[in-house]
Amino acid sequence: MPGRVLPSLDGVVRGRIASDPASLRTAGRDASHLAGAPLAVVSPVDEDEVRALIGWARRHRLPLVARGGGTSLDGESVPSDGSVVVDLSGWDRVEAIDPGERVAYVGPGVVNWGLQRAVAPHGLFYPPNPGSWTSCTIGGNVATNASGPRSYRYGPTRAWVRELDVVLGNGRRLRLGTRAAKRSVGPELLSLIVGSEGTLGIVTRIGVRLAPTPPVRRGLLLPVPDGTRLGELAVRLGRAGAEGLSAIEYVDRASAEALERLGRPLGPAGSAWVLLEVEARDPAAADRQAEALASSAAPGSPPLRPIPFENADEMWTRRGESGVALDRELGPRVREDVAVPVGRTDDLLDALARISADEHVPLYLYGHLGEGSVHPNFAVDPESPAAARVRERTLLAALALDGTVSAEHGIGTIKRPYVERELGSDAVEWLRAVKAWCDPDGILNPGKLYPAPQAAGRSSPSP
Amino acid sequence: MTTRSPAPPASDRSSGADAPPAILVGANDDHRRLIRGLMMMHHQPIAAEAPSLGEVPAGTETEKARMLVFMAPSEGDAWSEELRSTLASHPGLRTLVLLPMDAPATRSSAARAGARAVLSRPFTSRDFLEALDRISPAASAKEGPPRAAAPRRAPRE
Repeated sequence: MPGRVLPSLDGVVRGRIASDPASLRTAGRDASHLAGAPLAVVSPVDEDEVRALIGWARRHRLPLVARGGGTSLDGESVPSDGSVVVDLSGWDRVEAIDPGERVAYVGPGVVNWGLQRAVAPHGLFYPPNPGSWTSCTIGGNVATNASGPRSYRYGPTRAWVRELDVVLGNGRRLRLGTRAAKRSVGPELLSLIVGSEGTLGIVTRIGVRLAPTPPVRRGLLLPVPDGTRLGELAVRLGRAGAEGLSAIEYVDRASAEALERLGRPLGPAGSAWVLLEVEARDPAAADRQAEALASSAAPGSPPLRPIPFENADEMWTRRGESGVALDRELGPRVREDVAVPVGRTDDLLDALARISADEHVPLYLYGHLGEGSVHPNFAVDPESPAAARVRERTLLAALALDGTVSAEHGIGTIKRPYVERELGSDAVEWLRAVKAWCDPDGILNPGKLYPAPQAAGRSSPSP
Repeated sequence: MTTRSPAPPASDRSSGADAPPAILVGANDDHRRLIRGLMMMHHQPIAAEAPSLGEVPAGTETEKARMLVFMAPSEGDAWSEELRSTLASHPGLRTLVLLPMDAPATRSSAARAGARAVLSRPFTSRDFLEALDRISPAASAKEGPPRAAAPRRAPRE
């Protein structure tokens, strides 16, 4: 019985070992509707203990699941039954900030918002800001290659990770990446760890790149009239705001109304919104950009009047709470994360509307419009046959439009069957080979990311 | 096209997550933002939020609250008497007090005021969520490890 080996952990880890109901309940969930039943929650105190813990797990063939803020949305950090959760939330120290090199070194448990606060006095910021940035951790951001509104200008987490210390599932310690601003020494192995969802190794230290804080940041809300072709709008805004536009986001009317009922409104009631952030060297330049954006939004018509949102960070926090607002009203549902080339966004939105109509399931939508990345929320029991149809049609619609089944949330357990459809069988075989070398006993976060051998290739309805 | 879908009728909406609603009180905007984010991401409904106990808005939502997360101010000790008085008039509010630093006397004050759990900074997100779980009225009804959340009835157009 796995439980019998738990006492032997005492000699492996000096940190806390918990198996009480509250600890197991808390560690058994993420922000999705999924839950697992772990055996214990362990808090190693240093890298030596992480390595020892991996050795222990290999000896006893017990799964280990690394966990930061537990804010994943597709079950990435939900432990499989009988596994041991490796709690890294206490590794929350910003170890060093080097303003000259524009780099910070952090533990994997540092909360994204906490990093922003730590580097702000140096005139710097960390660009990836997921919707959950007040509670997600940098380690979790690395595990899922997370993005956020400002990724429109700055790119996802992968672009901002410079170094990683990691203990692989085979017990080897590696320092990946370089302190140099660039290098050309073979493929960058660091990129294999980013987005690997804790299946290859446990990250113990992260060096992140930082960007200079713009002198002026301005949040703007544009009301979106009914009938607007949102993809076309995003392209127009992108052209008009090339100089300093750092985010183009969207929240539909139903989601905006849910935010209002949560007490976290974006703007006046009754509208869908495009949310923009403009960066500029001074307020006058920001004003000029806002005017150019408003004019481009409705060419040939009186320009839309953008509503300034005083605090851009607060605007992004509220935008990030769209999912929470729908959690409150709808509970568990199909919550997707697809992306297509920006020029095909309207085709994707048309397909989503058809799926909603065909299946008689209400659709709520928000997302990163400027990147063709949207989060359709279908109000349907996620374990129902209708949900399976809705999910499959949504993911296949994205793939048919040269898109992806996951823009920024990751694969977790929910989307494993679609990995091979997107990457192809040869690429999946390569991934499996990497996994086999890094984690020969398959102890790290099993049941995630990699498709089950027979799971892929099912027939499906057309989107 | 627009992607707007009509909001479901109010009668079809679920009123919230499984956890009973909580009131969040704290004077520091940044700290409150972090705690609010943690609670929201982990399906803990927030009925009301205020910088101090005296500023909690009255209303139906507030009356539904069964839990209080109270962030004690870093200066002064008047808060403990205010908390005691609040909990005396609302004995059903299960309270977690977050202290700015660990001090035995302050912990004792919080406990005497009626707090069921006390956490001192620095604490991790895990510490906080476990403490929240321990004071939740729903926790006593739970047995052992979690099960997947039961889906609520989906609203239909």
